Amino acid sequence: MKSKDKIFAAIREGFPRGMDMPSFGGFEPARYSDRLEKFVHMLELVGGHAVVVEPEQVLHIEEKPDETVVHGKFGVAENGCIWVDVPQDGRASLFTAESLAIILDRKDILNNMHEAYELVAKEDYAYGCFMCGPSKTADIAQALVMGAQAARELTVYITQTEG
Amino acid sequence: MSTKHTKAAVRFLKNEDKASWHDGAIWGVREKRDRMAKGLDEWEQLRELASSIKKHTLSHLGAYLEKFACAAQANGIHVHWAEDAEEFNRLVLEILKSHQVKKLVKSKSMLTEECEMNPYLESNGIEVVETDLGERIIQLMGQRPSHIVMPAIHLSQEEVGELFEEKLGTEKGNSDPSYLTYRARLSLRNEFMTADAGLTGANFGIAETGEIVLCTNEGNADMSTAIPKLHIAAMGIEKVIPDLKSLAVFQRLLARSATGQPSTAFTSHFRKPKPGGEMHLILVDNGRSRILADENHWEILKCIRCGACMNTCPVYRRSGGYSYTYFIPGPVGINLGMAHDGRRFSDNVSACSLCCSCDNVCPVKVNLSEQIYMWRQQLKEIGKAPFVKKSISRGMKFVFDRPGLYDAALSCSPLINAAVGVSEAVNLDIWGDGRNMPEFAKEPFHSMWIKGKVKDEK
Repeated sequence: MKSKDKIFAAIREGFPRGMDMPSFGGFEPARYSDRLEKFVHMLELVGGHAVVVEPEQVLHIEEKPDETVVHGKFGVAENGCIWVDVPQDGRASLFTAESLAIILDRKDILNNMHEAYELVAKEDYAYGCFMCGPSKTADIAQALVMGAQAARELTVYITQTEG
Repeated sequence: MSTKHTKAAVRFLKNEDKASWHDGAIWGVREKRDRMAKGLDEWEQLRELASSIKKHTLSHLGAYLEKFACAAQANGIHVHWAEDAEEFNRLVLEILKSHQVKKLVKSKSMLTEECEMNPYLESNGIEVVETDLGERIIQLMGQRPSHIVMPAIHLSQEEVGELFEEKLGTEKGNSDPSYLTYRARLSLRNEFMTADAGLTGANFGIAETGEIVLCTNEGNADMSTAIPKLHIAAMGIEKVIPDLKSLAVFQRLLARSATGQPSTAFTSHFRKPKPGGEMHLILVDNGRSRILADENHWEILKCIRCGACMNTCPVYRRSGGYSYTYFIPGPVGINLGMAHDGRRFSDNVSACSLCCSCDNVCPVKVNLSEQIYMWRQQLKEIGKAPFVKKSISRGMKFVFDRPGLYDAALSCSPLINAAVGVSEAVNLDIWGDGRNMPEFAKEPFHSMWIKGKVKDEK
């Protein structure tokens, strides 16, 4: 651990000292009166599709060839993100599929990333990802192309639980 | 007198159409960023929080790194420490060799650029495949990135089309971005499937949970790590943040600042290795601890590499990434280059008009222009102040310290209108290069004011 010791010794000579963590007091991040509406709007803005379905219809969602279907734990209205944590052996299929479908319960749509990370902190996962629309790139002449390396399409089925 | 930056900028500007496209395309990204920033009432609060969290973390860096490394180890991640680029490269090679890796797929990492890892691995018999589309284009071209977020922004789609014709066998004359992206997708899928290991950078390391977080759009980092059994992550020691609560602040700022997206397509959290696989995390200093001890410049370590400062920079947009001698261009690159090796990278400090726009867009409130100004003051100290400028400065100090002499000189100034050609001819006109010399007024403002000649024109 020689290098580690050297690095730590050097850091101790560092200039900034004893600066406090901010309190977040008085910080009021964006909230939305209609979270579903905002979520759908943002999802479409980032190239995804939203389909609102009845819970029983979920059973009938047919996996298309080359499609992966997974459950999302929660969605975020401010940016259209959905938290997906799959078992390790399911990781690759999230990305190698041509299209990805995520099932999300309407009640699990949160306002913003602060609320979302409060919940992520309570989760136990080996790998997790906030997905925000399909894979995309603008690396050739700034032209936006969907489906750079991973799924070229993302559909979110939003269900509404009774009560 | 010109710096390497000004000379390279002249070359960049010779292709007027391309230079103008570059300026416009990057300004477009800045405008998208503005729309995102204005869409959040709490934007300025977020910037202030982000800055404070970074300052706090940097002022307790040892404790947070210790916590981060312990938590990562508890998650089953192998943690390594590299004092410099050489040690980092050696560690990567050792890990790869111990797993008999022949082919490595990697996602974009500015740290591996900084350490010049690819040529090192290649000279040791490892095949390295960049999988971010922009990075792949640059790799096939044999070039380096010209922007940290949009590495191939200096190339036209026709140039990429020609490259792919030669390297990937695409249709002749077809430079449609969708088609080219699709062909790259097919080619890279084959690379993912046949690679023995994946290497990524890290946007954030979470001290509390011992996980790394990557923010990407293409999904290549996830594919590079989901398919091969071995994952190596390279992270600068300044990238650690306290917890997931802090991450929410940075996640909201990063993509909005970088590309004007509400979020990157993927915000991926890597906490544990795959069953039967291994995950190695290499924490790299390479000069960062030294920068931390620099009273004037440690704040540059707050940077989250969004690239907003280059997108807004009028000099960057009009001179291109290759005009800078440090591998990261723009305001942050000027500062990082100076902080790492001031003597070697001093040519870049001229690439700033001190318009301060970078300070206003930086999501973590790095005082970029102020730091560039300070570096300019330090040029003499590091032995890089140009002789002509030093002489002129001494002359100006002599005149400005003597009001009588100053007034006398000013009354003669109209004579300069006729004499401009002389200073240009003897190459003393270092500021006039590429600019028109303004005409001196016949009478100085000071004397017009005393005589009551200055009238309010309202």
